[in-house]
Amino acid sequence: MPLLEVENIVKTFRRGGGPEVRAVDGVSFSIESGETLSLIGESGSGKSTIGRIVLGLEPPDEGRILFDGQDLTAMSPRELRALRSSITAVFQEPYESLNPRMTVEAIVGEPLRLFRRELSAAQRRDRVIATLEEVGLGERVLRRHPGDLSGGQQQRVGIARALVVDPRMIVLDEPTSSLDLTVRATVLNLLRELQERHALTYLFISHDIATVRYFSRSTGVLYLGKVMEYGPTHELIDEPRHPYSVGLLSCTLSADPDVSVPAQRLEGDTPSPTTRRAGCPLVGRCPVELASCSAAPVPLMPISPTRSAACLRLAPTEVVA
Amino acid sequence: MTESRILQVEALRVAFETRQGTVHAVNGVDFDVRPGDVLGIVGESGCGKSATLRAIAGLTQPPGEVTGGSVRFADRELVGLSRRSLRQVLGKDIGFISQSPFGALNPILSIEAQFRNVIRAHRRATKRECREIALRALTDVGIAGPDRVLGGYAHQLSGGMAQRVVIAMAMVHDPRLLLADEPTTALDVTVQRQILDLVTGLIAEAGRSMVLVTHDLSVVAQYCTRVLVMYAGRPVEEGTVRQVFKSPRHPYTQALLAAVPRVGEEIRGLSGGLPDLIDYPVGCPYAERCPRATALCAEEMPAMASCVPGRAAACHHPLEEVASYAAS
Ligand SMILES: Nc1ncnc2c1ncn2[C@@H]1O[C@H](COP(=O)(O)OP(=O)(O)OP(=O)(O)O)[C@@H](O)[C@H]1O
Ligand SMILES: Nc1ncnc2c1ncn2[C@@H]1O[C@H](COP(=O)(O)OP(=O)(O)O)[C@@H](O)[C@H]1O
Ligand code: SF4
Ligand code: SF4
Ligand SMILES: [Mg+2]
Ligand SMILES: [Mg+2]
Repeated sequence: MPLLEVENIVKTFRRGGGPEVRAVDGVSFSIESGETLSLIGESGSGKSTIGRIVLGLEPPDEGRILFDGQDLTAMSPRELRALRSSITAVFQEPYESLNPRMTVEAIVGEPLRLFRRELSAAQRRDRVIATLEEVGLGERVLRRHPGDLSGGQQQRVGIARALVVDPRMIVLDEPTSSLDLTVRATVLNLLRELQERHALTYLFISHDIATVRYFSRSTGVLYLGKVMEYGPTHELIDEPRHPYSVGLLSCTLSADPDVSVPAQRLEGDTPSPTTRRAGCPLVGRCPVELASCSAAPVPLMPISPTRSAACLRLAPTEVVA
Repeated sequence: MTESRILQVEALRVAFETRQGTVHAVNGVDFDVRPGDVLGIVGESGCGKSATLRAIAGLTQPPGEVTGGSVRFADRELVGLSRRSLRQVLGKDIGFISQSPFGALNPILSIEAQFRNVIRAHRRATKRECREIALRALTDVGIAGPDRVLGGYAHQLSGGMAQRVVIAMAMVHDPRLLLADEPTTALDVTVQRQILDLVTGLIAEAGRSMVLVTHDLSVVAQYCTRVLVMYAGRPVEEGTVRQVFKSPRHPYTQALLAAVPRVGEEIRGLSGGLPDLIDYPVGCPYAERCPRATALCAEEMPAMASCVPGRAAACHHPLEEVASYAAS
């Protein structure tokens, strides 16, 4: 049984009487315990909103979230609170997500104060120190403030804070986007180690395809709040089949100067998320679009035993050339 | 020889006075740019990339100061020029693009008015002529509805559109040299791709040149002709992109390349950080993190040593050169 099942979630926002934004528009996926699912997509595609819904920070307008078989959307606030320490999060900007006036000890100890009230101050402190050691920081940073730490160290504090309550799942929302290449590599390797050691389940949100490829087993590609394609990461990245995935992946550049970049396949910019679309969201940018594409919603359908895509051109046997 | 270099940077130094002491941000940077070159400058955060680029463009601001060295643009010394003489060169022969387009645009002036200011800084033009120039410049950067953009304000633009407007403004006077500091870092890959294709296309068109600061090695691999790797305010390696990426000689360059996620390979990070730039080390600034370091490294600063013109590394114990890439 998957640890997390997300069924058909929808979330709309309306900013100050303005037009409605369908940030998440009928998204479903599941993650097996101990595995990593990545969500990739351009900014505004709904990745963070999905993460916030899974974390219970935002109620969905429609749909269900099953965690370990329990429906989060049907829980009382008290039951939800008890679950808060089972799913934690690491966010993109370590500095912004850590209170600059608190010491590292207070930051990492805070979730324990909230969710492990049975612990004494001394037990709490031991736990904080042990966790800091696990993320490669140790006791010496206890009294320091986030501002005195490098970006990589700040993100390690963020990871310690997510780890200290012994969660089963962590939502990683662009955890390495603001870090330097060499620091990013150490943080990614740390996250992988921790996953193995604690059998953690990750929802990994990123727009960096090289990182996703290194990190996760399966991947969903999002566009304007909808999943365009879903499948095993390596298959999907090496041989994308949905026209949007093909276009997105053609924009990722190789760090090998001898591997040249393919010609770009997507035309124009992402349209405004407030525009209502009856059919496929890619209509207007798709190089292989059909007249029927704008008629009705295009559902996510299996296109092979391991993969699915939402495209009228992709019957189970057909491939977009 | 000199005529073929559009930009010559020699022994450039930049320091920032802070309460803790003097931060030696740039400590002797040398490089040349020739017409048609797209030079990438890479290195980790804080290594002095932006400080170098801003010094070249005469944009160093207090508490920062250019404390030494020379910047020759088309054989004219820029270091020490008065603000007024500098302004004749900047924005005209040298264009500058920064990471945040919204920081570069004025939020309360219409895009058209900002174009007018940019144009009139270096030539006389009527309102109507300015509008025509601006429309053409916007069309050149691939903006479909240029009249609508001209009448609007910065906040009405997406990040990608705003960066295109900034590029269009930077190209208005047909600069020979474009300096770009992380021009696409804040943008999505799809937009990054469009913008880099566009800018490097404009550069290649007329034998212009560009210096591109980035922390993204794949941007360098795909869009630059040459690369300069910096560490702690010093150049540590330079060469053509193929030379440096296929056969790095400096251990720091090797570490950078090992951190790029690649199919089927483990990535390796780098622990520790830059040395203290206030109390600058006497020896090699990379010594504390370097697996090849010896006693010599801690005592003596290695200088950039080159065997072929344009190819150099600053290391006492450089990595073996892969012969097939030596000349490429
Ligand atoms: N205004 C300032 N006051 C004090 N120190 C500064 C100032 N601006 C930059 N520095 C210091 O100068 C050094 C070089 O900074 P610079 O901005 O050039 O780095 P960079 O290589 O561009 O880094 P990044 O990749 O983060 O943009 C750093 O140690 C930085 O802290
Ligand atoms: N609190 C909010 N209020 C209004 N609109 C929002 C809010 N949060 C997100 N959105 C909108 O929802 C869409 C998806 O946003 P987000 O989930 O942050 O995307 P991503 O993380 O993929 O960049 C965007 O159009 C965004 O502007
Ligand atoms: S459904 Fe139509 S418009 Fe959408 S991706 Fe497929 S072919 Fe293109
Ligand atoms: S000089 Fe020494 S410490 Fe510096 S990079 Fe070379 S081997 Fe390493
Ligand atoms: Mg986000
Ligand atoms: Mg910078």
